[in-house]
Amino acid sequence: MTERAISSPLRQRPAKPLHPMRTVMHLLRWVTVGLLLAFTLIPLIFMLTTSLKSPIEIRVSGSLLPSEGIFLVNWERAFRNVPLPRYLWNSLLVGIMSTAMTLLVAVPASYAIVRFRAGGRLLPSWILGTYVAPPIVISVPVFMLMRSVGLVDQPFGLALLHMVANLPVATWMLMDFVRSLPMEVEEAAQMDGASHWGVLLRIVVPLILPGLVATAIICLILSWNEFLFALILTYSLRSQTFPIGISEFQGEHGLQFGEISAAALTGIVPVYVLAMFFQRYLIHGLTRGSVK
Amino acid sequence: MTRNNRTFSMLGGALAAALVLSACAVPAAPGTVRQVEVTREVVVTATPEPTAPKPFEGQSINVLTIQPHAVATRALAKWFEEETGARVQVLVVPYANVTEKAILDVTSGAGEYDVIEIWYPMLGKLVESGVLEDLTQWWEENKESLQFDDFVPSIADPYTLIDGKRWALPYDGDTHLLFYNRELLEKYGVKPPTTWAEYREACKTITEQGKSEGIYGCAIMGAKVPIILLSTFINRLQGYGASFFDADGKPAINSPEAVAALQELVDQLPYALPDPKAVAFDEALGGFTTGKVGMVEFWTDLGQMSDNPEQSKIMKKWGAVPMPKGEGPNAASRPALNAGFALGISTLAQNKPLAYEFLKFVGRPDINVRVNTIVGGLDPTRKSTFDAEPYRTHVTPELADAAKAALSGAFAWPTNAKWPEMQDVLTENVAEALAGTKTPQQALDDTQAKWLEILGK
Amino acid sequence: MIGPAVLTLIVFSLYPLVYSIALSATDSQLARPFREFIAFKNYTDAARDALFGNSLVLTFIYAFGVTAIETVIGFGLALLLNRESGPTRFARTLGLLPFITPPVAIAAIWRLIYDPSSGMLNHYLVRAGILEQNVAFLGVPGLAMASVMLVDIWQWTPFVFLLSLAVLAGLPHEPYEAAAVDGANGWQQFIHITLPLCLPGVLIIAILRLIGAMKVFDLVFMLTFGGPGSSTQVASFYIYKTAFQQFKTGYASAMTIIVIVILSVLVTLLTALYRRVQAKYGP
Repeated sequence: MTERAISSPLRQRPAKPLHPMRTVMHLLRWVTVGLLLAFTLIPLIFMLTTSLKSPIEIRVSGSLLPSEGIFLVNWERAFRNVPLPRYLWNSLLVGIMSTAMTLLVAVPASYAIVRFRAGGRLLPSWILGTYVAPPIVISVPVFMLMRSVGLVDQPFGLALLHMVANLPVATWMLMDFVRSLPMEVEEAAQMDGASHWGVLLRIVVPLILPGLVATAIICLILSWNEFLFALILTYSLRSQTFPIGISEFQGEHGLQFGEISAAALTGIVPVYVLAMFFQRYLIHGLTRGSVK
Repeated sequence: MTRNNRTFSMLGGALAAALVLSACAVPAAPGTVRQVEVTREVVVTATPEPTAPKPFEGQSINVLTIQPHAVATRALAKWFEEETGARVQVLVVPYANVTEKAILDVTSGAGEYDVIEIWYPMLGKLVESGVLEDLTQWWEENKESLQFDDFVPSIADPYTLIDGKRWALPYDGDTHLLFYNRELLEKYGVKPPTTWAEYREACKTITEQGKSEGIYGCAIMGAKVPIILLSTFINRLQGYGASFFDADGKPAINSPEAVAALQELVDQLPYALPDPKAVAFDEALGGFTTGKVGMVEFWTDLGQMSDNPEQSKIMKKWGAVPMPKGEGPNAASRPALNAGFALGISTLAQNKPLAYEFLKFVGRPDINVRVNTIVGGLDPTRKSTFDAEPYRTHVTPELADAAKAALSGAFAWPTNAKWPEMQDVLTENVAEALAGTKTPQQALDDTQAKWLEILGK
Repeated sequence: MIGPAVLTLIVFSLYPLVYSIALSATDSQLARPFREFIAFKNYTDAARDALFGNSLVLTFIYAFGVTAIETVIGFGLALLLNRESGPTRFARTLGLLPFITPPVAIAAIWRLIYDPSSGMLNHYLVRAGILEQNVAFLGVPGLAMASVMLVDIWQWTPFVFLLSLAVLAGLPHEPYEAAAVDGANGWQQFIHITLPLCLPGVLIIAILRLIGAMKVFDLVFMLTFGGPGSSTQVASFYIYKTAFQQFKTGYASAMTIIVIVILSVLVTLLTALYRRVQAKYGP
């Protein structure tokens, strides 16, 4: 797990005596982190400070910090004008449903592909191939399809599409976790008469649980942020998700940057908290699944 | 086992996080319609008695509206509910997506919308696509209450008429005026222009002196969005007396007048707030209301926004004049119907009687006044609204007169079924001319050729 | 076990694909699918359509541009920060933020950053004397493309960085020990050991980013709408416009199929390249 990342080979080289070069490197590292920090964080901080500026200051000044004092009016309006809690709730609902469905499909598939070469070479490349197609025009037949089964403007319908969209990523990640398991345990269980499903559920799933959690969180985040399918497939508050909600801040008076910032932060913070909470697993899952 | 323990405690963590998340996001009761607080701003005119019988109690319709009109449509929905007992669910989409949403809804057979908001140049396309109910008979039957003659003549037909039949009800009447910052113009010694050449000179004078302090003579909306870019171009096209088609209905977009108009636009660019190619609604609005820009062509409600203390630094320091005119034999000050919306009924409406009832309600003259006197409302479509005292007080009498004058005799964009395609071609080419990758002549020649191809002529 | 996956694929990828191929052979409109069979006319039209050609070129410039920059910077950062220390942990945590932020919010905030009259970038660049006067980052043809690409780089470089850290963490120890015995210095070790060993992993990351960048849509939709001129009109945006602004779904489908074919060829080539690199340098 993450411990592996720590034991980097470069680090394990025998320590050399202190060298001016090493001090320079150390300094360089901190400077780089400083720059990276600035580049990454300033737009996000700007979002926060924009939400706290007065509407007129947003129009007049591009300074990072509010200079006319702090205003909460953008936050008040963001919540008053647009039913944010409802959008967030829909996003959560769609996210959890789609994540659950993705795992239900991807876990057995990735196991069968890795262990039994099910589907030969076609299936894995087919699954990954769906990641290649640009989703725009495909959205029309998909809409017709969803309409014919009555899943338009239903959280479940959107969740289904997110499942399809996330399937390549999830399968890709999970295949690697399965591959990294020692075969002996599974073989032993099969000798004891366990079925393939029995082995999968009782042995494989518990062993790859950290990877499963990482995959789940990534699917959740991808679903949470998805815009295009949501725009096409949803009509009303019954199923509209948070990104659609943010796009509603474009009003008669133009883009309300202060309100958009406040609303966006409301939806981003839970994701940040979740990501920070599961940081190690998330980084681990991302890096393991896609690179190796 | 330590490993397993850790995974399980982690799962517990995930659950906890999910619970925290769901607790943060308190759901509204399913199916509740969002209510925007509009009552505060509403000038109450003749609210019906609550005891009156409510014929549509318990029934409901869905109304598709564009984001910029969300507040107004929700207000109408609320008043209609109070009067009839019916429930109106307002479904909001970005204005760029409204036509595709309506077509996809009907084509797929979903039929989620009962009433549909229409950007009027798309009317022909929507009719051809079978999205709209034929309202000809309905107009005939409700002559008395709808008072068709009361609609501003220049918009009444373009907003509603295709192939001799009526398909819609005018909803939001939009046109441009030339707004100016009185203080800035005085400071730099220029007068509000009456011709586009004067406009260019005035803009140049202010920009050359004020640039170092961040002051520009004008803001030109040149962002590559049809509703934005074509409004700007058509304002000049009209001033030069050019048109899209000649007397025989053949495209004439590369006429000398049209080329001169586009050339004039290109010549104005260097003096405008940089860079016109990235200036859309927000940038122009922000530039003007913060006092950085001397002049801007904009929709009539800029007046109200300029007097809003929360957004504006130029309260009571602005004025508005009609569109400048061009040069040449056909030059005149002719405003254009830039933007503008109507309401229609979906062929798949699930409650057609109620949809008709809602349209009848919205079409009433008193309702037109009422909805045009709330903040975030629409612009009038009826002559009687321009003359109504509540409206005149709301927007100032001067602006009401200017807007009424601009709207009467305004030039309508084409509304035929091929227009979406033609409009996209024109946008593409005007954008190229602005970017300097085509000369105005080339851009309009290319448009002409493509238009002939599209129309099969 | 693969039943559900195969079913999902058939319903949601094969069906739309077949539908689109069928649509591409007709003169369809959004409201009138499969109206008139015209065989390959949409394809020949696309071949003659200068704007479509232009959009493909822009897509390539965009995708290869951002991928190259993100890979170089991301991998460089990973090399520099490849040890378990304060700066690394810090950078790794922060690196998560940009790509878990909704693109809708990202676009809104960058529009404000780039704003020509009240944007943050102009505010500070002018104040620092780097710019003489405000610049419209999204209004000048070449610059607009660069500005959109910068947002992509902001969003995805940390992602490349995180994945690169993992590549480095997976390197075997033995070659370094042998090199140390031979007295190779740090630079030699980097050129002869680290770089070749990392190549397969880094290539995979680059391929991932390339595919993602080839599909770019949201940023263009929300920042420039394809302008100024047609300088940011990438393929997916041009296809969107054809399908949903002009309502020509038949023609849009034909262009989509062309893009899918190009992407598939590209991915196949890159996968082959990956296999060769893997065979040469891989474990």
